[in-house]
Amino acid sequence: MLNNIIEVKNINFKYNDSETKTINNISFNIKTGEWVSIIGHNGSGKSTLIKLLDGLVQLDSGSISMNGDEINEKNVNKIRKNIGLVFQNPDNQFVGATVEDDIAFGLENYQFSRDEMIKIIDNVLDLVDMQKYRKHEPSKLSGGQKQRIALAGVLALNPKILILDESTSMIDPQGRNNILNVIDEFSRKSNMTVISITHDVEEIKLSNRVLLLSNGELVEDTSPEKLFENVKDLEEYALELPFSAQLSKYLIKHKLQLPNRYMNEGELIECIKKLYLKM
Amino acid sequence: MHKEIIFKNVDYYYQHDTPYEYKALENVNLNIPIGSFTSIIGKTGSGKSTLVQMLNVLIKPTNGSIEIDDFKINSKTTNKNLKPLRKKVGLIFQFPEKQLFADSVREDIAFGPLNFGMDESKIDSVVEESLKLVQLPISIMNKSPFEISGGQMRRVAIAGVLAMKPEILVLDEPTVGLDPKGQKFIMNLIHKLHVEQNMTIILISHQMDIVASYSENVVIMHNGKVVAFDTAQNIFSNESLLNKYDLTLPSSIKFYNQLIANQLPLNESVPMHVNQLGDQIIKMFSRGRN
Amino acid sequence: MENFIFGRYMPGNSLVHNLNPAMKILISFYFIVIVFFANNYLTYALLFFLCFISLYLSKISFGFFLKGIRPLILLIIITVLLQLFFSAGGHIYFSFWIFKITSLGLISAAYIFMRFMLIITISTLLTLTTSPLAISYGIEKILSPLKKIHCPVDTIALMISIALRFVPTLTDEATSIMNAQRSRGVDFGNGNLVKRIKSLIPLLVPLFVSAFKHADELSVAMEARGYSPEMKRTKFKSYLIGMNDYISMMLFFVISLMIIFFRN
Repeated sequence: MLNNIIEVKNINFKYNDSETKTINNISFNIKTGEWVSIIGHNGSGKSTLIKLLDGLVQLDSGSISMNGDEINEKNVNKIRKNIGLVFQNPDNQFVGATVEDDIAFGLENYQFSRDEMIKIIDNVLDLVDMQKYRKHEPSKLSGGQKQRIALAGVLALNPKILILDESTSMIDPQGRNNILNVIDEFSRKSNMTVISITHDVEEIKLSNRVLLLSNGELVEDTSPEKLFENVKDLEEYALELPFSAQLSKYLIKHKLQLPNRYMNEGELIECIKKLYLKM
Repeated sequence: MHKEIIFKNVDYYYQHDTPYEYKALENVNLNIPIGSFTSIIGKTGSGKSTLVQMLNVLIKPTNGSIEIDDFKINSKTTNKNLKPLRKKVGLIFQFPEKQLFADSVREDIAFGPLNFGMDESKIDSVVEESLKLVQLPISIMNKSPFEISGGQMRRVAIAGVLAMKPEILVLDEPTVGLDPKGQKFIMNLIHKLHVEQNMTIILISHQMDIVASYSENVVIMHNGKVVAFDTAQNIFSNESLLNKYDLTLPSSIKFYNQLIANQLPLNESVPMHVNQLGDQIIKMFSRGRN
Repeated sequence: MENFIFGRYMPGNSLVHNLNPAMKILISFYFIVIVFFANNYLTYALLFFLCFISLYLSKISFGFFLKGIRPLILLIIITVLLQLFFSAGGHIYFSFWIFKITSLGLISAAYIFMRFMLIITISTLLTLTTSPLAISYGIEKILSPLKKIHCPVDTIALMISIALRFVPTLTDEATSIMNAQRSRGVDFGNGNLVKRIKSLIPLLVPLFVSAFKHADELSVAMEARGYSPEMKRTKFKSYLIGMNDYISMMLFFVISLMIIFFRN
């Protein structure tokens, strides 16, 4: 099943009021079921790239295909149905006056019947564990809960691709873990492709692949492990090292004989233990 | 300056005497030492933000009282003569860039000091000084606060509070929504103010790594009550306490615990940040096995 | 601010809450119209009786209701005083410069006061017992005949419901911006008029900036969720017209007949 669900070929994009290209000749493919993180500093073109993928802004040149269909103005609505987007600010994507009304919004747009809606809303509320908040108003929910509803509203349409635009950056760590767990589980079960713009290392660790953007160009297409190992100055790309990498960097600086490669926490513990037992 | 900020039996009800009423704070007793770096942690909705708003009399206790220096605040405190207190306590809210309004960065930073009666002739030097503190170029002064980047906007908003020269600085999740570099910058700035100017810092944060790295004291709030108040070291050594209130351990302690579980003899108090853990591991190796 | 209930919704499960929203809006407007037909104490008494029953059936506490509409009292008093001092006719009780209190002035001031109370009561009751979404549903239903002349009723209704949904968000935001500026030394509502108006700038500018940002991002989010104004949409919410709706309609109709009968 590992065919390409997204094919991006030589795309270019420039905003009318800008001098330079926001997206400069980018090409990449994404396979079905992959989890891809897109990283880069502010203004690197990440958010624009996502808007292009969802057909929210139009390309200047190049092409984007979803499942083999090239996006154009005619089929954009059909293609969009397969793509779920969760944005950064939970308040700015809440349309409904209550939780269930909000989840219904997308379903109403795609003309589901009322009976279908009731069933689907019930399912997705279970999925994000928000059943008891069904009748609540958005202003009564925490940021994390609002984001879970946004996710539910998107998953209700059973998308093939889920796109997260810094969706967890404004909510507390528990809220973040909660959302990531739901997505992780759901994407495994339904082979949903996940694309996430993020600054968060925990989120990057969940992904199979990382695309690094800088000034509108794709400068790295790599794995998280390789990224933590090879890319100097991660901070310049608005990232920080995972905890295990920070620790091993500190230990190596203080002359501990650790291998100079990225290790996750389990590996690092094993490594320290072995070294200690060898003494 | 008195030695402590004192909360005495403080209750607070939102929309008191209406059907919407709910209790946000219940019998809060707390003595925060002046000159300390104290963090307040707890789940969303536990009353943290309500508590710190009282430090500026933005809301008054429904019952009980608060003492800050010579000010005593209770339900009967009038809204007059609050300026000296508000000047003393600088409040930095969540997403402070939302409070920017003026035509220029200079005007926005000068807004607080002018309201508190600072001499117009001193304003320029104060604005420049604050911009230096938040490491923004002086040239940004004449730009509109709405045409600079999000990270810069946050720094301008913080500069606007620092320009008031507060003695106590209260921050409600100052790093949320920033990238790691921006987060580190803000935390280093706060740390510097605390160490170099001996500023009292009260910080609300959900990020345990930040709280453990920087704070001396930690308050845990739960359902409007203060359920624990101790040194950061003691709070974070008590895993069952944190679990009880759904709080996570800092990464350094999680890792430390795993090393201990693997029978590695670190035998020291729990490390509050990565370098401290690193030092403990290095010491363990230099002690050797015996 | 916090105690102000005009225009707010209070969730509940009373008979009044559960009336069909379209019908409830129509009845409220109907009521406001018949208020202007009342012209003696008996007819006003009938209308107050109707208000009282509605309020009782909504299970909203009387004290809370009165306290909630208190902020509007100033508006009422000013209007009543204008009426009192400036409507001429009848016996003159008191006269000073251009002010006169006359018997007719007294009566019309009393009527104005009662009309105000009635209209405020019924409209507050409407919003207290009807969720924003239900209100927009009701408006859509009422306006649906206009669809025939290609009036975008659905879009208008959605706009209203989104506007209402953002009221608490913007209220929260206004409070937090106000708090931030107060802690930067602003005294809202102190000093002379010019000063007061000036002190609003640090509140209004950020609030507008934020509202535009909300609108901008929300429109993108809506489009991403498949919304397009030209396309047909199905409806999740549905409201039936039940027995209670017919009974209340009858009640209001009967009272209005009585008013026409008893008026001078």
